[in-house]
Amino acid sequence: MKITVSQQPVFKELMDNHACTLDVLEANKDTDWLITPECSISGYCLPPTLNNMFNVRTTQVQNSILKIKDRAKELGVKLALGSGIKDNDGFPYNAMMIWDNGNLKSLYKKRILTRGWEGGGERHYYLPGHVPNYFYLDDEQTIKASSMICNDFWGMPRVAPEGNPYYHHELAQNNVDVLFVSSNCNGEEPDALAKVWNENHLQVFAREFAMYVVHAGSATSINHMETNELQCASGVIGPDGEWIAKCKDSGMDSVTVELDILPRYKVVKASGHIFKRMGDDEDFD
Amino acid sequence: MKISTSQQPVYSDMDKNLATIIDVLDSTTDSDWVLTPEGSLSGYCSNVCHESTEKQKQEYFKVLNELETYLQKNKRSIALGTGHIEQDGFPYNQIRYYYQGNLIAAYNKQLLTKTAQGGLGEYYYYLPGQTSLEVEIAQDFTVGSLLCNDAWAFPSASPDGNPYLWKDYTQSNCVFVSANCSTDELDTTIYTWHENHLQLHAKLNKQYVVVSAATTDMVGNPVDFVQAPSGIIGPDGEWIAKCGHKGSDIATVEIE
Repeated sequence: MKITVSQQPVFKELMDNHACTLDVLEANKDTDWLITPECSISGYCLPPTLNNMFNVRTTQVQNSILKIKDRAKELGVKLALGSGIKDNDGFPYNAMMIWDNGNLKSLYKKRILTRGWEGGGERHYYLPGHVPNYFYLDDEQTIKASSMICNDFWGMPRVAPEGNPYYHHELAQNNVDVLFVSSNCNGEEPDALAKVWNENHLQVFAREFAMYVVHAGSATSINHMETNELQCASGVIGPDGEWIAKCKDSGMDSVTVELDILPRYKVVKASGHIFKRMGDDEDFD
Repeated sequence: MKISTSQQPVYSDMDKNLATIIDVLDSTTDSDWVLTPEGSLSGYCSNVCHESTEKQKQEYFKVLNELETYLQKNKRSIALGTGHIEQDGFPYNQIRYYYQGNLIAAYNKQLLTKTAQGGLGEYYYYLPGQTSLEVEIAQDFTVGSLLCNDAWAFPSASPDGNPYLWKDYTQSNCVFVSANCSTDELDTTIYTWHENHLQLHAKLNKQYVVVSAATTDMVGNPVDFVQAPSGIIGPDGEWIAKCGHKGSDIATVEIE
């Protein structure tokens, strides 16, 4: 199974995002799955949002998503598409849509929206989701996957004052093999400690729960500006916590990894790990 | 004010622990405060726990009495990591604050380790604390208290997540972190997890962080590495003084 991670700019202009995502799709038409960054179609914290939903742009976002998923269907590529959406309840969510053969197979809505001590952040733009999502990457339904969006994964303390509930435990208990993570977290100023925080979280949780973590981050800042300081690498991390493939340190890039998912088992003895996979432990018998 | 933090072994033998602590105190006579690792007197998850015998309890209170006598006689101030049986008769994993020989406060570890697989980790040994503790260790200088997993909630030992107890200390000048977290082998990813949590929270709260970790593994055997750093981090999140990567060491910083 081929999985492609796209580290791509997230522009303010909707049509730029539309064109960019179609370009990435065409350039990776041989892949099985393509994952894009958080809000890669709508723009980050741009309509549809809580105070701005009933406008032309919301309709344009919906149309763009439909055209991109149709093109993905024509190419035979399955999509994990990050975008703000207006859901059936009429409210805006920060979402990852799982499109398979033109069908919306699964929809994840970001749960840990950013906010400061006194509110603000993404809470001013979206409603939070409340439940995890589960879907299979293959038609035989043997590889289970789930989604997280940015702060859901690493609960950056300055924007997650209630802490990090470690939703990963729930996903691991439900036998998730592959976790898709989309993000949009590049500040205007570089923050070396935050970069280590984000990347170390990806590696530790991948290893502790023996999951493949597939991360697609934005190549632009949260204000849709060019930046050379990405706050978290994009790429694929194996169940041993090591990077299998990594996008370059700045700018637009993509990596494709062919994954052969090994069976997973619980570690019996007390250890720093909870789960492992066959083949990555020489002592397994 | 001079603060020292000690990177030192934590044995299951309490007499050896007492001797180690007194050595550290003797070599930091010009320090105003000294921080020691988690369980540094009692041993980690041993001697003072739910299943400890009367003999173990008596031995613990004997060495504690000897240490308290030393502190009184020498007017020393220490933030002592140790298991302790409180007046309710239950064991807690504590940082005990002695100011010039007198006990002024005690913090009980809140985020005891446990696993999602039914393993209870430190719950087999201690009761969890319920509240955070800020202590004024000098005039207009307050410190918050965290013990090991309180500071970083390691995922496989924290199925309920990380509540970021640091938020209880946003107004503190400093946070003391007493740790004991080495396993059989050095794991650089886990070391980074620990170090990054300390640095990022120091920077976020704009406060000093003083950390003291053990040079032994969690059953008291010496190891030639540390799984968490010891030293003092400044309010900018950068290290001011850091102990060596292995073996006993002391870091001291003068804080205005």
